[in-house]
Amino acid sequence: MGKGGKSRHNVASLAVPATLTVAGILFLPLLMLFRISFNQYDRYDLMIETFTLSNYTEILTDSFYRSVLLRTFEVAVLSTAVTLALAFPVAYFVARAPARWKSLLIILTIFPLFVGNMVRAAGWMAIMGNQGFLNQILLKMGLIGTPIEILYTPSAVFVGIVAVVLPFMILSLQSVIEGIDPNLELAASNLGAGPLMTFRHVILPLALPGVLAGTVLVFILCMNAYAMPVLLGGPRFHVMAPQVYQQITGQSNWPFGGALAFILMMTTLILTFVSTSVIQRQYRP
Amino acid sequence: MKQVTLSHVGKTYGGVDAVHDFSLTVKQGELVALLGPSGCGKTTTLRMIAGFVLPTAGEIRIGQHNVTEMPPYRRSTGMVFQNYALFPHMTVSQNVGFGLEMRNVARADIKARVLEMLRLVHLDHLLDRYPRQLSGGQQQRVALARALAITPDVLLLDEPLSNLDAKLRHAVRIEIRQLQRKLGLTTIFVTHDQEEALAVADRLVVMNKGRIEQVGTPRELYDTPRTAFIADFMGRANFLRGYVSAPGTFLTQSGQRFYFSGSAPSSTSILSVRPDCIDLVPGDAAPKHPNVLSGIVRAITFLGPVNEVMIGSDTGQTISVHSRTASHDIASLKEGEPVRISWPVKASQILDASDWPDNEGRYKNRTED
Ligand SMILES: Nc1ncnc2c1ncn2[C@@H]1O[C@H](COP(=O)(O)OP(=O)(O)OP(=O)(O)O)[C@@H](O)[C@H]1O
Ligand SMILES: [Mg+2]
Repeated sequence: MGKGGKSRHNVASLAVPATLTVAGILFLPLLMLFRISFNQYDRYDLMIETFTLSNYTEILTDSFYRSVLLRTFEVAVLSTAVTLALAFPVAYFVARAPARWKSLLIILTIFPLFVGNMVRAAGWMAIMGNQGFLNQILLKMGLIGTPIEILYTPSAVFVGIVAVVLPFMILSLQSVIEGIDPNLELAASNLGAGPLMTFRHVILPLALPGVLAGTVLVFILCMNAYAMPVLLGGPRFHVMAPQVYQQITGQSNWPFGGALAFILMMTTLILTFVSTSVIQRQYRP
Repeated sequence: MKQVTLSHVGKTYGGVDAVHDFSLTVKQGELVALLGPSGCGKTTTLRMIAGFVLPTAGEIRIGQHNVTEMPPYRRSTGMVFQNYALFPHMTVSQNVGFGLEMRNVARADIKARVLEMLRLVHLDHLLDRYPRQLSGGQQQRVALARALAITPDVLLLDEPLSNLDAKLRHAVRIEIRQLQRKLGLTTIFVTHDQEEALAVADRLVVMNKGRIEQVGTPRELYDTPRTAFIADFMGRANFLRGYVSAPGTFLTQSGQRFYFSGSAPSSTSILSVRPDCIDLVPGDAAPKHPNVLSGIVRAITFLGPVNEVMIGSDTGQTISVHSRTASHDIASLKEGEPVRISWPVKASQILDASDWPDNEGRYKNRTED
């Protein structure tokens, strides 16, 4: 524990400035917001420096915000689950693809990330709108008589979010599955395990670190989804992240927005922690 | 344990034959070694029997059943992989019990069988270890126990010893052989090490470029190889190119005359003589055998029980001679000095030269034309 100039040649000490900078970048805004969330909103002065829990109690007792939090949670859990189910086969396919196809497949997977969420949401609007691509097709095929409402429904938001987070899940899973020796699958099958049993007893347990990493990452992204709920959900669809934005820029109510942000963050953290420890315990060998 | 029959089995990958017209019957309780250079199709053949690779031609039977198109998990073959392929997230006993669990065997029976199998391979004290906590040799035995636990119809081993060090390899191959005899296991053993194959197998199948080159007992292949390829593969043989000039007489391209017994192809041939059949002729003593050749000692390499003497012979070719370290002949030998060698008539083996590739580095003792 060489404090001071004694450990000049300690390589680890070289990392200190960078670490501090990164920590500052990561945590300073959060700390600021955290402090602000205990201040009081004032219509004229906007913010009064104080220390009160009133913002938090207001949110937690208000049925509107409770329902927003619940809705956010529902959307995130469902999106994460569906994303996991969709991503696993794709990730497996990519991981086991011949080397010369693999880089192409990975590039295709991350290609959508080259475009921002807002732009992709706009793309979905063009597809889902009343005069949109999907309705046109369905009308042409005679499957429907009048345009059906797709845009501004929870389903639209759900599809949009899943599309955004899929690449992250696929990449997390693919990198782990790639590390699983294909001979293990052959060995399982040689010992009498059909494809389903091989998946359950060999691939899934060995892919678990990737499943956990992908699920956590995607769940956090879903909890904080902004563009898709706003643009595809319409004015009556409320989840947390747009509410925070709304409070801070719309109402200029920084303390309340800050408290909302912290409740969102804490909920996400707790849920992530609880679910990962449950999954991990279940699959501990 | 059952008999395994392959009839005209073939596998092509994108038009290239990995295995071609492979026919073989492995009898119940027999250990057959598939032997051949890298890429000759040994693994592919084994994987077709296990069901991992679908043949593009022919038929495979295990016992009376045609299993050609049957998925691997419906067959009952016990495979030991080259890298063992133990499940890293399962303990030794879970690994060994996996196949039984897939067969819905009762828990208590699984436990008993696992213990029995691990006793067989002397690992019953390591039940709860994970594969990463085992040595290579121990992992190898767990893999063997796992394959045997399901009482397979046939045991398939793909270079099971290649990841072990030389000493262990020797011990384990004896163990595998004893186990195979004791349990009467129908076994197919893939290796590219001819010594290993000779040591363990009832019969050898030597493969070359996807085809069977020769099938026979170790003795047959060693003593009467049919082709130069086999002779070369079975232990470093010396090859002299020439032709049969009269019955029992072989004339090399540089004019030396050698004698052999038995029949031989009359066209261009190769005379092969193994390094351990050749005697050094001491001083100016009379040679013991009618086949005599002189040359210059190029190098003497001590190999333990024998010395390998490389001789630049008058045929223009380097001849390898294995001389026992205990013999007196070797003591008087010096590099750069002239020497004579001789070998008996029956040590000369005349081989078909049609598969003699002139420009392949694999053949060490090529005639310099
Ligand atoms: N999946 C595959 N796709 C294309 N070619 C293959 C495939 N598997 C094997 N081959 C080819 O088939 C031939 C036989 O391969 P195989 O693995 O059976 O050889 P081997 O005798 O086991 O060699 P080694 O001693 O190196 O293990 C080789 O030329 C190999 O390149
Ligand atoms: Mg092989």
